[in-house]
Amino acid sequence: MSGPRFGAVPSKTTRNLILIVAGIFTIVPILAMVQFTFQIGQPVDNVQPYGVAHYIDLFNPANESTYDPLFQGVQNSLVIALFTVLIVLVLLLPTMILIELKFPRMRKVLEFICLIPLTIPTVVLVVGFIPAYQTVAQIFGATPYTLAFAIGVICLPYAFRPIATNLAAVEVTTLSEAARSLGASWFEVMWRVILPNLRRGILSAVLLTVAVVLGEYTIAAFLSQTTFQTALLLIQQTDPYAGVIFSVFALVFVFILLVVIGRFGTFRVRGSRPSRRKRTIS
Amino acid sequence: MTSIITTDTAATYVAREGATVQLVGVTKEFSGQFALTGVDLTMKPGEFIALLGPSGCGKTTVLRTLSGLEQVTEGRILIDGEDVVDVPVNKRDIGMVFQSYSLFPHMTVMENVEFGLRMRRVDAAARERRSSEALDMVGLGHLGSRYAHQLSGGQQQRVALARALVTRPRVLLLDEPLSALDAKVRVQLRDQIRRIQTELGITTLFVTHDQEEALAVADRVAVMNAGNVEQIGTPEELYTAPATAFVANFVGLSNRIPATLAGHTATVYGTELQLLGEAPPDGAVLAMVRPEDILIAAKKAGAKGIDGTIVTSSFLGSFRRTQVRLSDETIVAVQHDVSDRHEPGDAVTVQFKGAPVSVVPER
Repeated sequence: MSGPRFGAVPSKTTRNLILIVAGIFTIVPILAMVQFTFQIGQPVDNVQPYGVAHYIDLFNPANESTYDPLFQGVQNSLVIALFTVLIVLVLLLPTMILIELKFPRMRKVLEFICLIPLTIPTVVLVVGFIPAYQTVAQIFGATPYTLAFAIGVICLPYAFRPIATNLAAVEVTTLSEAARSLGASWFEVMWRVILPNLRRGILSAVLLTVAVVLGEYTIAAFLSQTTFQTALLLIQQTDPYAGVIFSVFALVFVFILLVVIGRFGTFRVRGSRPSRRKRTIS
Repeated sequence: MTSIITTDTAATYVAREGATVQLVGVTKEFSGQFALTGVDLTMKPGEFIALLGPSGCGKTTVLRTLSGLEQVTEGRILIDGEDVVDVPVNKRDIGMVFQSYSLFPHMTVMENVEFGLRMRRVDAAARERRSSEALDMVGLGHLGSRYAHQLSGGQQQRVALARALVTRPRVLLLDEPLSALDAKVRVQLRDQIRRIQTELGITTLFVTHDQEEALAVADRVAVMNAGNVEQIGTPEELYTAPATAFVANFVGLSNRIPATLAGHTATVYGTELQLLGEAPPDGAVLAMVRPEDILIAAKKAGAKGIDGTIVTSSFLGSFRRTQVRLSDETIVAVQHDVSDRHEPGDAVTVQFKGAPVSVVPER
């Protein structure tokens, strides 16, 4: 007699059902947003007219003053995203690799530090950032790009986890020792062995960092800076169509990033997955 | 800092004279704990030495200090007379094979083997030729385009061997390279390693905790205990003339039988046996007697020997091993011909052949 097997892999039907339900929850709001952006005016005889007028309006010179903060916010957010990614790649990534190779006992300490921002509400963090940013503004000027330091802190948990998972899956210490014994310098070990094997984790960390930066509102609002989210909120109050159009663009942008990471995040381009192919018997 | 790396780009894959390796008083301390306590070891050119010992005895630490992956606390490491203690691992010109294969997963088999040559700035044509030759040498010339995850464990370790040898290092270090493999593949690869090592004449240090492996493959075996080399000798010397009780106990199977020591003679159940090694103080001791140094026969009236009863008897292919309970409840293992069959409960007599024995103090 066979009963239900808890913990077993779900059947194909169950998997498809879950996929369809999750897909509906994801796709329907996006389709509704897209449909909304093509609506023009009020329904006539219960028929809603559609067109691309709202998209054309975005690039109409006459509307420049209206949409300029939004474009400025997008530009600021992208530059902040770039700086934040650099902070992750230049500070967090080498620190994690160094701890993995030389100070493995510090792993838990670093994890604790990186997860702290998850446990503290952003508003509380911002209150702490305000006096710090008075000094930052004196040194670097009151540019929105300095938000990268604060947002970098917020991004730590999201950047840490995929890299840590990737590090745990790759025998970094043994691989680096093997490479060293073969004559590689530390630079060559990093460049030719460790980083290629951490590519998926790094790209995931970059994706999450960019996503967090594009979605971050509290810090920018409290520190009175124009970013994509703060500008979106402002424009939403005067032109909801433009707000939704840019929201859709942001979603598409992140989706494209996800696809790019899925495509380039794996090095087994020419090989198959280990579990899908029979091993050769020696 | 001295670099002893080779950058030959034209030579074909040929045997190269192995290096002389000397460890002189090497100690290694980890956070106040001494993993090595003054290790002295000399390897002749082309020699294959196995480091054998229980877990935690320091054998892997010896290998890692020799490779440069660990810095010595004190002592000298000489390769062909040159002290390499301050030479970093990537400049020592050693080849290393790890227990966990450690192939680079993002590279093909060929790229893995080429890696060491690439680090030595060998030109592309020579790299490809030498890598192909190295892969042919381990019988995997046809798998160059595969990735590590597409190979079996045995194949991965053979690729690791080719990768370590392709640079023609002066010393080859093998860190328990067979322990992750199944029994049959282990024996095949063990024999292949030995054959290739002999052909190339490369000085090789092989770390293992498997005594059968060490005895089967090495020219000499160094038995380690508590951070130092307890004895170094040929497999025969270690087996037949262990210098210490630890070696006698660790290498091969030994019965610990109560005996009385007087000078260099141990009396075991009335049989006088010569002592191996240095004699401890006279008195009660335990004699280490090999199972093959004991005779067993069905009990007959008037037969000489010690009376006993069969406990178990196991067929082990070319011989049988039988457990006998003696009259004083001591149980001894006896190794004998497969044609001698004994059933549990059979009455037998046991005799000692008279081979020399080691002794340990009785506790």
